[in-house]
Amino acid sequence: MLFTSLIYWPFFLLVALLCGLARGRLRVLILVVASLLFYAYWNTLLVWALLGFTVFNYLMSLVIGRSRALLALSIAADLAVLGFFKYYNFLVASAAGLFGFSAEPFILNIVLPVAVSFYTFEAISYNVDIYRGDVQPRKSFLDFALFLSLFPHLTAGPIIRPSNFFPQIDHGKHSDAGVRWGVLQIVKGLIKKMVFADNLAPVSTQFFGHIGSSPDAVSAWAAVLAFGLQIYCDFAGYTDIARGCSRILGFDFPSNFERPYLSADIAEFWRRWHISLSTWLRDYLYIPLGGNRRGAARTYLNLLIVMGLGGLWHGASWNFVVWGLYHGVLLAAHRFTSGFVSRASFWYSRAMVPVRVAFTFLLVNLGWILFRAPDFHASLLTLKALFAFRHGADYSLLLLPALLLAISLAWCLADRGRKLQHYLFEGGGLRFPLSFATSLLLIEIFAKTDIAIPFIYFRF
Amino acid sequence: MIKNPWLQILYGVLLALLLDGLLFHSGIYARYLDPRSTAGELHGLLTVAKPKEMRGAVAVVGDSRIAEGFSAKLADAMGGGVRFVNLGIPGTTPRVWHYFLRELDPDARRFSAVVIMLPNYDETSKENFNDRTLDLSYLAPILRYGDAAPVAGSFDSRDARSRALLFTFLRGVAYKQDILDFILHPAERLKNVNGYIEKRWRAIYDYPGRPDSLEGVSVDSAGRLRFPASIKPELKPLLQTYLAEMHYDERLQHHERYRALWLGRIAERYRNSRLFIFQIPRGPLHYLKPAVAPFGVLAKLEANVLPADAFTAFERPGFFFDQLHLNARGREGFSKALVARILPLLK
Repeated sequence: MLFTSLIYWPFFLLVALLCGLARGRLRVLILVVASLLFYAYWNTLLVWALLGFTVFNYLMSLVIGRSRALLALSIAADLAVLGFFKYYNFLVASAAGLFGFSAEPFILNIVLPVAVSFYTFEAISYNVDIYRGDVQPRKSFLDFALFLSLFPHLTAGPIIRPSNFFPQIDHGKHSDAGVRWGVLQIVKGLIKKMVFADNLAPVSTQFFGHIGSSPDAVSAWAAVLAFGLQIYCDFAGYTDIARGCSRILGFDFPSNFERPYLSADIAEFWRRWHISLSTWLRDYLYIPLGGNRRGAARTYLNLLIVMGLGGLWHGASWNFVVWGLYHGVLLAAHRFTSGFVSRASFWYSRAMVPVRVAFTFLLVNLGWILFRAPDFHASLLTLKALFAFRHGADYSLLLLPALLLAISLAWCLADRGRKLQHYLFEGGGLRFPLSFATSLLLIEIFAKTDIAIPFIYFRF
Repeated sequence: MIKNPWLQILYGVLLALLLDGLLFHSGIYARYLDPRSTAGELHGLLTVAKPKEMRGAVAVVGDSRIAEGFSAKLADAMGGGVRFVNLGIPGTTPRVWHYFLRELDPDARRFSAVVIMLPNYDETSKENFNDRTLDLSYLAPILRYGDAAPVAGSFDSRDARSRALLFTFLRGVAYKQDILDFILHPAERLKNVNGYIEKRWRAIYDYPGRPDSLEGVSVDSAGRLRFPASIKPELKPLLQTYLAEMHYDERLQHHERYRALWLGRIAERYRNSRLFIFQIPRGPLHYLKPAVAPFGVLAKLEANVLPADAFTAFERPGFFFDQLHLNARGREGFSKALVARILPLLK
């Protein structure tokens, strides 16, 4: 059930209505049942996999206490589930390539459970937090089931933390302002996804889906720019809708994106992009590995390990690993150069901010080639094509990505500090209905509705 | 001051519907539709075909086979004062014709007769026309809010029904590609809109038809197609498919339902007027397949259904330029034959 499908919204309104009428435990029960129905809409059988995973982690959380062995067992079991569903065929194929045997007899026809990467990380953080003494194990199975499965964030995050989530079950945040804020997020998300991402998708798909032997620079730049904008609008759009729906249901989830393409360096980018994943990796991988406390060389190595694994989390492909390592190298290089370039230098001056933002944007977009191209060969062809300027190229391909980029920039300038959007959607009176109606009209006219384009992060 | 956020949401939705109605249902935007698009062509045709001088004319309605195959100019020349109007819109079907005629002729008295083509009495296409969502693109400028239930209900699949509802209530959805194109190329659009339809209307009237011909195309004793050297290579696969499908004889239930519904509605509107239904020349090789007499719903319609073999003389390669459409020679012959059939019936 996609957020952009017509069936989702009556479903959501019904759940919101029932939650509004219900109190206490009944509200939690309604949300768990609704979440399982939402999940079952994709595949009924996989609901049992989710339920089994939930029961196992719930039982483990009750007995982990301060036992390192039990924590290790729970993490190993969770990663085994993730590994089997997501990486088994990838590992077999990689081993076959390395040792020269045929992978075919070992390849299994595995259906990847939707959202397995997200709920696995949430379960791990829950058990680790209990072991660390940061949270108490939740006695109610329903509460824990809701933590893993609450439908707005189930399929593609944000990855929520137990310490943020559980207090909200006990003290739900229902308010008129919350509903308005939720509607604002939903409208923003739908515009990002349906107007921006879905209109850009054909530009990148046309290129990456049919890379010939000699693509030209204009089509390559158009595709790279289109995909860079598409993946942001797609994922941030999903997150906005998820946060908006959750808020209307009484849950406040942390921000996952903070206008990351306006970052002036790569470290800042990762503080503003997929924040729930990058902070998860920081807290549960980077810091346990030693973080930056064991010298420069170990810090760089930790960055490479964390980003490489972060890349692999996205998908079972060496392209994702290399994409992660690419960012690991950029972060290490940034850390290295920051050591001897003074903050008072011209490079860090206000005048250079646009240049640094553009440079970071370029680096990130070059990285997306690895993320989007079907394999290494296609990635290399695309990289080469970026410099293959030819006479007679079709410059009109750049029109849509450039137009949408310009509109985005203009909006960011007009809406500095997000004051404008809050002004339009806050308070009583007619301002809210007018803004809402205008947004609906924008979606009606400019959203791509002739084909259903799933959210990119649903694959992960 | 409205304080309840749910009430504000409701007002927002109603306001969006109102804005959509003002912009798109009122006809303000329709004037700027790309005249070469499906919706634009239909809207343009409505604009030029509405004037009073059309009153009393004989309307010949159909798809591209009428647009290509019927000449109102030739018909007028031999009509003895009876005027003909070519309302052939490429890609349209009886569902579109019904709403198009309702818009053009609200009281069903504008024309002295309405003559409607049918592709074949024994329909050979396997496409389920009930679910043809392309119809919605043509219908976009003329559907009314009250049409939501009957139009949506005429589609078989849930997806198509949802789409029909969406197109009826939120017309901006139907126009979005057109609007985007207008925004990206405003000067070109304004230039195209200005006088395009009038010029095209004139061009349709004066159009002599396509000179190309399939003369020489034949079928050998083994049932294989033989092509003369002059035939265009891109036509060969189309003719192969046409020949293969020509021999299907599937009187599919969905065709019967579709005809019963839409021809039934057209016949109902024109029950006190003169409505003629005829079989358009089916194709360049259909001389190999005998014409079938009207059956099923066609036989029961309150309309004059012309005999199946009325125009089979034109089902020869020399009268066609491709597997569907009559060429200039076919256009001339068929137009004269149609007028010769219709005129005595009008007296």
